[in-house]
Amino acid sequence: MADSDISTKLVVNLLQTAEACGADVIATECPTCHSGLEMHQIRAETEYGIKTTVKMLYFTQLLGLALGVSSRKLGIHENVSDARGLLKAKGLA
Amino acid sequence: MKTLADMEARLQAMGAHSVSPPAAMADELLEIGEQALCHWLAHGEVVPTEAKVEGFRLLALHRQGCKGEPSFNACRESCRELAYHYNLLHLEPEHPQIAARMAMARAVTLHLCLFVSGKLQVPELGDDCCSSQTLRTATA
Repeated sequence: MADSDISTKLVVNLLQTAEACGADVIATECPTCHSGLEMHQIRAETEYGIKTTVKMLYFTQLLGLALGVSSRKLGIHENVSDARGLLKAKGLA
Repeated sequence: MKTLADMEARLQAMGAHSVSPPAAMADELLEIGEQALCHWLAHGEVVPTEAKVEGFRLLALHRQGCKGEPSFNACRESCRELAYHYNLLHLEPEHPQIAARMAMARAVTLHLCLFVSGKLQVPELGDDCCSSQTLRTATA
């Protein structure tokens, strides 16, 4: 098993657990964790057909949203995990 | 001692919603977590400690497993989360959110087992984690 396969398996466990707990978003603080979650979410779907919909946002982006900063200013459109639809549905974008 | 594959299978079989009493489930999950760490130590030909840290052998084993291998510290939060959920399940078995707590405890234990089995296959796993403090300091 390659390093990426193991990492994908670990991430799938995180994403599925978050969804099972009713989470819309996983808040991250570390760029390595953030990109790992995003990339392996895509890989899980393309390589293994395991689809998850939970989004990843930096906790600073969530904080900005809570303070009324626009999602564009927060760079949310630049995240690989596209949360814009979710934020729009929640009235946050 | 169960194999890591057996532990993973057992955790998968528990499913998201266990029918076990919370305390019994907590005991089983903690034992699985300890055994997973014992596998890591056995791989490094280290005799697993019987000592406890903050009341948990699990945390003592984790600390032991990080010696000489800082990237193993990437599972630190999984170990601490397992200890936290163990306490939750024992202290508040009638909590309204007990089913969610049990599901989370199972998922955390599964994550720990996956990490240990992954680490045994790919030694570099965890190298990029913020928790690998010594590695990061060494390359700063």
